[in-house]
Amino acid sequence: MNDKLDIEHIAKLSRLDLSKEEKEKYSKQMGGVLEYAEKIGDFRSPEQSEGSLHVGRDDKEGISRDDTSDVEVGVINGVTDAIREDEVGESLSRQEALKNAPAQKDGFIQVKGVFAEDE
Amino acid sequence: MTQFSIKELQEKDQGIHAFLEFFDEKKIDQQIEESKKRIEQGNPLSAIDGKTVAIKENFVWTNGKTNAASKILKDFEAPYTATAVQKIIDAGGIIVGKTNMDEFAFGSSTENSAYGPTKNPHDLDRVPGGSSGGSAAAVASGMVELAIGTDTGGSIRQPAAFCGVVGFKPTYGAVSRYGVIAYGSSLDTIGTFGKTVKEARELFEVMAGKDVKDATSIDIENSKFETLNSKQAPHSKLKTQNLKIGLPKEFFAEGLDPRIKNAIDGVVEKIKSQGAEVVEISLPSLPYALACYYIIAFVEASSNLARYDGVRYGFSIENSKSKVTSRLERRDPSASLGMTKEGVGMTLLDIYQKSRAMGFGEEVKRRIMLGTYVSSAGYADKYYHQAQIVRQEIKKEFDDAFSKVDCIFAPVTPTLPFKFSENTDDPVKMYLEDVYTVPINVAGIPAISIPIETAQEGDKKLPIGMQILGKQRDDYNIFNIAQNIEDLISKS
Repeated sequence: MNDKLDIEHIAKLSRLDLSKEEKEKYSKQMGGVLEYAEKIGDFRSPEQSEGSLHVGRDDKEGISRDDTSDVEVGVINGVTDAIREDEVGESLSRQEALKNAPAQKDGFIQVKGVFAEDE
Repeated sequence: MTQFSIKELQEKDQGIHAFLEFFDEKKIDQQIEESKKRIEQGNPLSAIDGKTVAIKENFVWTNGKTNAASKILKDFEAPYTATAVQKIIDAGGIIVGKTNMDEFAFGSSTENSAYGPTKNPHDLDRVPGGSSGGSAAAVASGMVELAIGTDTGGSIRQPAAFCGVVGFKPTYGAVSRYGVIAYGSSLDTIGTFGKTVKEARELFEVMAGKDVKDATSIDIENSKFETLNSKQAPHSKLKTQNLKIGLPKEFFAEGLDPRIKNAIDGVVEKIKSQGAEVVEISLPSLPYALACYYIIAFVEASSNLARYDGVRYGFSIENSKSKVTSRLERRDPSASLGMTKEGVGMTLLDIYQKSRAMGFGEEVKRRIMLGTYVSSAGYADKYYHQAQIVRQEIKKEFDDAFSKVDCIFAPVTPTLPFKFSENTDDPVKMYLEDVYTVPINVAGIPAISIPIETAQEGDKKLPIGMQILGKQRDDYNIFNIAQNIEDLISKS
C-alpha cells in the first residue's frame, strides 16, 4: 500500500465518530483488507489488454479521467430500465412513515439545522 | 402434524440461540388449526401449508420487530411486510419467529450479531456459519422444518454446509428483494433452507416470481421434477448418461481441506458410475472473484447503510440526552460544538456521526469505511470500476462454461466449521472462507449446497457440503440434479 490511509477523511465521509484508538485499530485492519483488494489491479480483461477499454487512472487531485463511463455497472440478470407508469399507487401513510422517527413535530421528521455555523 | 409448542422451541433454543424473536403463540396455534382444516378437506394452499418456517432477521414484517441483528435498529417496527414473507404467509406457511444473523448480513459466522452468536447444533463450540446462521441452525436442529435467508456472498450456502442442511440460492432476481434490509443490492438474493432438496424447492416455489416492487426481479420458468431416468423424459438432458458436469480446476487448488475434496471426489465417482460425464474446466478469473466481490459489496453496503442516520428511524443519539440538555437545546437548536454537557448543542453532523458510531458494530463500521474508501475520489477507478470490469469477465466465463456443461460441482467452503473466535482477529482470514461462494453472487447464477458427508473431529461429526451451480434461470434444473444426487448419496 502506497498511501497512508487517511482515516480521518474516511471516517468523516462515512459519518462515523471514532476515538483515537478506534482510528488506529480500523486503519490497521483496513490496510490489511486493502492490501488483498489491490490484486484487482493485476487483472486485465481482453478489452483492456487490446487497449479498447481504459479505466482512467485517478490523478493526484482526485479527478477520475475518461473512459470509466464505458465500464458496465449493475446489469446482472439482463433487467434494465424497469420503469413504471407515472401513476399514483399504494404508499405508506404519513403515520406509518413517522412510526419510528426519533424526533417528530407536526407530521414531519424533526431534524437539526442543516446550515449550522460550523461543519 | 405434531403438537406445536413455543415453550418447547424456546427450551431447545437455549443452547443454540438460533432465534432472536418468537411470534405470538396463540396466533401460531390458530394458523396451525386453520391449516389442519384445509389439509383435511384436501385444499392445502401450497406444498408448505402447515409447515413451520423461520425468517432471517433482515426481512421486515408488521407482525413484530426487525433489527437485522444490529443495535441501530433495536426497536424498529417496520410499517410493511417483505414480499417473500407475505408469500409464505399466503401459502399457509407457519412463521414461528425471526432468526439470528451477522449484523446487516456482514459476516460468515453469525459472530457479528449484536445480540450474541448462534451455535452449530452439530458442535456447540463451533460456528453455524453466516450470515444466515440462525436459519441454518433452526432447520438443522429440527426446531423448524423450513427457513429463509439471504445470500450476498454465500450467506445461505455456507451456513447450510456447516450445519448439514440444504441451502438454495436462486438466480439473482428470482425472489423479490422488497422488504429485505439491503446489504449489496446487486448481489443480495433470497433463498431457502430445508432438511431435503424437495423441501428447499417447495419453499422457493412459493416465493419465486417477478414483483413490481423490486425493479430487478424476474420470472423463472418452472419445470416439473424429473428423475434422472424418467420415462416421461427419455431425451432429457438430465438423464444421467446425458449429464455433463464441470469441475473448475481453480476451485480444487490449494487451500481446500482434503476431507472436503475427498468427499466431493466420492460424489463425482458415484455420478460417473451412473454414466454422467465429468470434465475439468477452467475459469481463469476466479482468483480475482473474492477481491471483486468485496469491493463491490462494500461500496454498495456503505451506500445502503447511509440511511441509518439517527434521524428517520432507528437508534439516535438524540434520544439518549438528559432532560437538562434537552431544555438547553430547545432554546438554541443549531448551537455549535464546544458546549460542555454531552448531547448539548449537537449539530446535524454530530447526530449522524455519534448515532452511527454507537449503533453499528465493528465489522459494519469497517465495511462502511472500506466501501467509502474504494469508491471515493482518487480511488474509485483503481478499485470500484476495475472490480466492475472483473465482474463482467467472471459472468462471461460462467456463460461460456455453461455452454459446454450442464452444471458445475464445487466445494462450498475451504474449511470444516471452525470454532468461535478462530477467524475474528483477522478480517481477511474470515473473508477467505467465502472464496468458493462469492463468484456465484458476482455472476448472479443459481447454486445449491447439499450435505454429502460428515468428517469425524474428536467425538463430533462435522457436516461437509457440496455446491451445484447452474446458469442463470436454470434454478429448477439445478433442483432436479440436486435431488438425484441426494437420492444417489442416500442409497449408498
